[in-house]
Amino acid sequence: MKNKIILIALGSAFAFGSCTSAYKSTQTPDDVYYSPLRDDTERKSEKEEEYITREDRQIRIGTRNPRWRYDNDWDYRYDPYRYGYQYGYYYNPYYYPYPVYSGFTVKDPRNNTPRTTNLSSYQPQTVTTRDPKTGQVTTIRTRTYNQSNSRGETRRVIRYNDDRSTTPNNRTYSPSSGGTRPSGGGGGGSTPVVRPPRP
Amino acid sequence: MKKFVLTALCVSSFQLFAQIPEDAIRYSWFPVNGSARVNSIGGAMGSLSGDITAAYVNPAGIGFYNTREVMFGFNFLNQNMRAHYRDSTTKSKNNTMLLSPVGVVLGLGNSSNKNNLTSIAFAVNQTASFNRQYRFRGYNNYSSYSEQFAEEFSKSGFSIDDALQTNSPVPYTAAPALYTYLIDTVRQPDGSYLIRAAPENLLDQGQAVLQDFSYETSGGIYEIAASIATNKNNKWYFGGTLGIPIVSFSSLTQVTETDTSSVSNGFYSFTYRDDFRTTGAGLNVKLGAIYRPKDYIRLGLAIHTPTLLYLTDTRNTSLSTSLDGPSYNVSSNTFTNGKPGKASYLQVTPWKAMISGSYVFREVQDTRKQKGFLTADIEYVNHRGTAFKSSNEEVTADEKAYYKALTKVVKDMYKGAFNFRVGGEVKFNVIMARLGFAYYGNPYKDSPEKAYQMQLSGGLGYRNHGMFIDLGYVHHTVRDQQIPYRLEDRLNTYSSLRNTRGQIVATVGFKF
Repeated sequence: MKNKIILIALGSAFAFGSCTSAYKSTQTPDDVYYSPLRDDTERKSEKEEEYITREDRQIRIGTRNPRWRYDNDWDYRYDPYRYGYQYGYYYNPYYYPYPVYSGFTVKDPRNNTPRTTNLSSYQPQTVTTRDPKTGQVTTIRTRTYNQSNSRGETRRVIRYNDDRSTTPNNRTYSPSSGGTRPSGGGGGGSTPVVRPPRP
Repeated sequence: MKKFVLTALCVSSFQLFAQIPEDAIRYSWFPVNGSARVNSIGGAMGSLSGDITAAYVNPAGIGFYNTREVMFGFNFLNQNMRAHYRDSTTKSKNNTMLLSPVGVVLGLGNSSNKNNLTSIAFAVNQTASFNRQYRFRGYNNYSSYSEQFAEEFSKSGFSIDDALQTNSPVPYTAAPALYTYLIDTVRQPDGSYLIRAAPENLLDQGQAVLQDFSYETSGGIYEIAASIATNKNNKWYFGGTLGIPIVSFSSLTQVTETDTSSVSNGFYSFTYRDDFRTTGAGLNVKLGAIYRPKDYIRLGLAIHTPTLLYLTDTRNTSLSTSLDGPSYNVSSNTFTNGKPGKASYLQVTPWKAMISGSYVFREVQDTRKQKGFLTADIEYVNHRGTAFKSSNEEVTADEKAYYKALTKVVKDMYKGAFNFRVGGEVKFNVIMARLGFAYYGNPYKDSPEKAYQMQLSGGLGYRNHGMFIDLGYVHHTVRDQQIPYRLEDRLNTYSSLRNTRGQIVATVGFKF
């Protein structure tokens, strides 16, 4: 897309560069400071010279494209390529001489789970502190970070007998889905994928 | 109560179709990219007018045009990234090109109706660039990237059979991790099972993994703008722009973790690749007014409505795991019916508003008497205002709940921020010299380090014989941080990013 826009820009610049002449011999306006109005009388005379009737215009357009030759407004209802289009037909004489029915849509059975994320991991972490004098335990939720291998909190080993009530994610394996098997959506069937054997 | 509802939503709808909160900031935290003249003055365009970039900042500025011009330009960007991650620093660099505004401005006024003049503009501009390449690496004795897969799978409530199927609900993360045994169930003495990631074996023994993160992003926001503006008695200027942004974003992420110990612990290394693309288009409106209380003085006000983006994501990941002995490889296509997954959604970007002022020294027709200007903008962007909504054909209640929770997380993560832009020009008849400065404030509500973007800029211009040529240089400094993975039950680690960019801008235009 970027290349196309650059090409269009270069083409436009070349075209305008070759035909611009309005300010070649006079000061070039800087519209940030002052933008001069064009002289109205000059514009009117240009208009008069270029004035053509509606009929002339119709004839001119008609000579270039036959679809505009006999009618003022093109009506797509008479377009053979769109005959019966709204009823699921299409027509293309180069392909087949009669309208062809295409009244069905093909659904692409794509999995539509692009990026799943655990939104709970964006919440502040729970930090528990114990007052050495009173022994009172305080739990606060705060955003702290571990950014160094030698400073900060050491790694906690997750064990099966951890207190589950204070652990936000206990990493237990406890499947809860029953009945229908969950899927990635988007239609289409699903078959089991077998893991390679582990030695 | 609110926290409880949010947590409940996070937990109950975790396995659903989703975007991530980091998607929000991509479409709201970027500097003004305009013509070379505007970039040279720090992008301060809110009340200045007389440049096609006004269509993207304050469309009332188009109302100053009584002439006609066409222009185009380009940017060349050289980027250097310095990333500090867990006591290690990594440097990387890359070059890229950007578009400047390409378009035409038509002043439709004439001398017979001086008190009510109209101007229009059509332009295409790259308003944001996503082109970046960088990496960071370091030893980590605290956590592993793979633990997020274990957390995800544990929380999902899925069985291994649920995850390992050709149309899996967790096809990009947990399913490949289970297939390659990067995560697996481990039987405990009480008969229950824990889900463990293989690198945890060595981390729990006090060893470290060597982590290597590589990111390559490309694309940008290309916005088509159609503007109309009116000039009332050379006092009031009103304008509006209908913008059609076209989004193209590609991201290739590669993460490698390697065992640094010499003992056998059931893990050697894994490499995870994530190929992700977002494409789409949207719609927004920009409205503005400029008031000239007296000669030389201009005051501007502009409001940009939220952009409604209709986006489609496609994604493919691959995972290669080497345990101490066997190795396993798999692509996420195995779990997405043989082809990359695809999902559509609506994203609403934040609104922004700005006030501006300019002092233009000598607003006279004779260009030899025009001496220069000073201009400044103050802009407010409501970064926390991003919202998501599914645009899949059949939206389930759980899906709605997820997007609602995601929008809430974005509100908690980000905040509104002020941006400041200031610039000036000195004019010597046909030659002009410019300087500018811009500062874009921290969009994060709570971040480990303060983030900001800063620009210092300068440039030269030449305007004669019905054409103009502008050149500019912009030096960007961006301070940001990246959290490469997030864990619910451990503290997060992050990389400090210092990005410096040198941007050369050129614009050519013709009056006609």
